[in-house]
Amino acid sequence: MRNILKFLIASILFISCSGNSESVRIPGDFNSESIISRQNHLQKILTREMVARIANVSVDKVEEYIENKISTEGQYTLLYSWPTGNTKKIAGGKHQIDEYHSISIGFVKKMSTEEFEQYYGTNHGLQQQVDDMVKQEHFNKETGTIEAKYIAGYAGIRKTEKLESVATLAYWETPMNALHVLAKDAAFTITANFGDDEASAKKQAVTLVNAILNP
Amino acid sequence: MKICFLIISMLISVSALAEKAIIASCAEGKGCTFELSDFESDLFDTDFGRKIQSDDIIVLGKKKNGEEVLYLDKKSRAALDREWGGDGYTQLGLFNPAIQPLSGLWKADYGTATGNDCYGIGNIGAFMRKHRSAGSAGSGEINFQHPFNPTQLFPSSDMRWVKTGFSSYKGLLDFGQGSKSPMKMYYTVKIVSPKKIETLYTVEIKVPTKEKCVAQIPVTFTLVKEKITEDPFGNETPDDDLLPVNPKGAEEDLLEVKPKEDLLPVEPGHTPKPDVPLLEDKPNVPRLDDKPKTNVPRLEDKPKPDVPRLEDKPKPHVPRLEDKPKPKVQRL
Repeated sequence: MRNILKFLIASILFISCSGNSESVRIPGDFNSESIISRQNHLQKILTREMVARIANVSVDKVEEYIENKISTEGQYTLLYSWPTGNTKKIAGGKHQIDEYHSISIGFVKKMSTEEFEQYYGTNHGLQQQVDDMVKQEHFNKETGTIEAKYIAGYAGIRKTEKLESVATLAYWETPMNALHVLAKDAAFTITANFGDDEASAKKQAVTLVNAILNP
Repeated sequence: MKICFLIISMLISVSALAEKAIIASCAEGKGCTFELSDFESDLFDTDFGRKIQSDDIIVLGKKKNGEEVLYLDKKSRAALDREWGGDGYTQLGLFNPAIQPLSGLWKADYGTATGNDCYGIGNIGAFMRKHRSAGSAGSGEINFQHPFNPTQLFPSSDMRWVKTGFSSYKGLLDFGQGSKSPMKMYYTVKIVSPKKIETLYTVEIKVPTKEKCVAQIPVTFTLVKEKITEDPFGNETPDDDLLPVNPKGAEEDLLEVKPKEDLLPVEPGHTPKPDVPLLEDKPNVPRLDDKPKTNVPRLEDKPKPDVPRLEDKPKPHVPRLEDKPKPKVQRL
């Protein structure tokens, strides 16, 4: 009877620890430069193999694309996508395309905890995007006005959830399904497209952060 | 001679501004890129079945099997990007090509020019052939902007550009008023691959009571040697040495029916404006807030209809971060 009770307690403890998918520890010897120095080599931070593992697909099905040049010189985002095997109708049913899910990584930068909280925990980051847009060399007023309205519209629906047990600090942002992560003073963002399944997107994004910080 | 004066007078007026639309270039599994572009319905070969509305996005999609689709959609940019496999993060660029040409040494080859008789003043095509024989027309370094902007291939601020396909663009110099315009010059650009761009100049001249005369000259750009760069986007200074051949040379040949007359949309000896975007507009940039508050997240404030402001001064009853999002989302 005593042994059974011990076993039950141990099982409950095990399940409560391993089942917490929103907890990512930073290794004691973690050096944030290992992330910052690779901001232009994102494939070395998040590999195709990591993505294939969490997506549960073979590596050769995962395609890699560089996209979204960020206004900060030299920064970009990296998109990995893979077919789910399903198809979807587009254009009011006129056309059909394969359904893809995807993961991206980007926005690598050095930040203090206070800066990170202000940038992602509030709308300050969106404000900063507008300010940066204005400074771009080929800024166009008409485009800038529309983009500012779009960002303002997004600010009206944006929600964030603070995840204090993921790395140093993290924010889960919806409806973008983006996980903004701070590991010591290295910040980066993982964005997940798992269709309408927000819970899965969040879980897989956290799993990827764990794979990045604890390879 | 009268005809020549008439043609010169046509150059005085350039038609009114075109409408603007957001165009999405989408690829299966890759998501979409977005740009704001002039558009004129008659430049699209596709009949959308209805009028383009202000909240429509024109989608230029490319499927894995190579099939290109063109349709209108009212979904948000993020939703469209996700639908095509992207992550939902989008930016609005001036031009976002699906294929980015590489910077480096490019060679330009003129193809066979064609044209019909033009009101007794000669065959424009023959004239072009006489002055620009088919074959190599020169080469030079091009540092392409990222994202690619077709204005680099024809740097005139009077040329209005639209994106007409997945990686194709059409520029229009209209020296009149739309369909009644006496003279138009189209410049179509198709990025075939990062190492090859096919272009075509088409000049149409129409004099009342006469048939339209048309001349065309194809120019193909081929990459000879790629420029090695540390920047993954190949961003160098984009404003020098934009063209492997002087585009004015081509336009001269194309339009100068009588060499001394000023028929050119890009005049010889005049420095064309390097970019369509007006940098001098910077001071009037719409700002969301001059001094962003540092610690008052006000995510739920409804943006003002005209001047988007993310952060308003605190009000007595401020909707908090936990509030449900407003049902009505401001759309473009």
